[in-house]
Amino acid sequence: MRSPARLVTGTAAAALTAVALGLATTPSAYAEGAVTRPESHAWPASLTSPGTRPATGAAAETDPKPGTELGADTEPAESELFGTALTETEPTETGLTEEELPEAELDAEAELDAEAELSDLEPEPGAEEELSEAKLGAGTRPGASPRPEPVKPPPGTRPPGTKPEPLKPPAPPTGTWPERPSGHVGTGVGGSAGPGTAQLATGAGILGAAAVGGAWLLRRRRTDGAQDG
Amino acid sequence: MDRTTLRSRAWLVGVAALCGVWLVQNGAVPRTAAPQPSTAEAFAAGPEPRTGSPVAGPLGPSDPVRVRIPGIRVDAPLTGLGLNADGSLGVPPAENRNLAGWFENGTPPGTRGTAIVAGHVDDAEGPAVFYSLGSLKKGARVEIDRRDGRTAVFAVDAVEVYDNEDFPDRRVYGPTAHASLRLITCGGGFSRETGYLGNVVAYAHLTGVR
Repeated sequence: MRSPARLVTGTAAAALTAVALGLATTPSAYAEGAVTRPESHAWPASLTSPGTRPATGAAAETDPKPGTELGADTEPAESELFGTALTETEPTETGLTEEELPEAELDAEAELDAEAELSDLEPEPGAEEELSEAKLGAGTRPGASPRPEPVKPPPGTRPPGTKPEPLKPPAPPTGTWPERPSGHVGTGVGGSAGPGTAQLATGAGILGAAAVGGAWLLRRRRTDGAQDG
Repeated sequence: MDRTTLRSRAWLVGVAALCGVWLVQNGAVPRTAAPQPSTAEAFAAGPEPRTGSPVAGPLGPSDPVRVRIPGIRVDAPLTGLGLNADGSLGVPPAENRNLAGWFENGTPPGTRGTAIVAGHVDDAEGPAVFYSLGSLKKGARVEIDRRDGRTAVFAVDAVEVYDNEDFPDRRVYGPTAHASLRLITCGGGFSRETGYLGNVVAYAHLTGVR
């Protein structure tokens, strides 16, 4: 027979095990991020309230908003169940950034969603701006497809909170030639340097015609002279 | 046939025979080659604008359409030229004697850099558009009409002749800090076996715009 102390200890251990299992079955993207968010961020006081935090898997699954945020890849059944809610909350998830969070007039659950999303994306200085630029809008919701890796800009390229400048095409190089000729140029065939073949041919033709004409005239004259004589 | 008719026809044949003799004699004599520049027209130092000649600011890019050189009575349209497989400059089609070309992948005349214009000295029948290029003198005016409606006016700085084997690529084609022009044709003597032995190059720079 067990002693009451051991019974209590065993029951407490069983309860702790159950709680641990419940946490382990909770999708990692759910509230893990919210629970393990960086302590350096100043979050709204409402988020620190234990009653609003989905501390267990059961609590999270009964909350429609986390399903909205987490998408179909982790919990397909939830995405089907909360399809309507997905549509309604899509603008929120596409536009949220860490800077906007304190100003957003959201209820505790919506803020929790945003918190989970941000913690999942590992907010770093500058990275939240990439989130807003990453076009996470319709068709590219994080929950609907593999989330793109945020591209971190080189440090110091843009102060936080400023609008990114539009990309400009690189300026064409100046002072350089794309190509240039080499060597001499063949701009002549020698028609002006050689003998005038055309003149030669024409002169020879005229000379030949004159010779034929002269011979005919001499013959005709001889014939006329014989007839006269 | 009466005597008068015979006599007139005899005169006609005689004149034709004389013309034939003259043509044969004239055609048999080798023609004088295209004029070549003297050493006095060469650069004294390097390919730079002549001292005292104004240097105008370069224009924006626009294709050239016509070249005029009043000193040697050149007034010809321009066509685009590319490069041959060996990297040498292409030439205008030989069918049209009065046609010059410009290197269209390079600098348009009037813009900063070296614009290149080439023309034939002759074709199989005789002299062509740049036959007299070698007779240009320093200071001669060259005008290039452009597609933008402006006329780039250049002044000749020097006229030089080079052997084919020693053609100075960089001097002729190399970039310049101002708007320059090179006019190129064949010259330097002629060989029946190998053709022309060199090139005549006239160097000019932009002096004004109309």
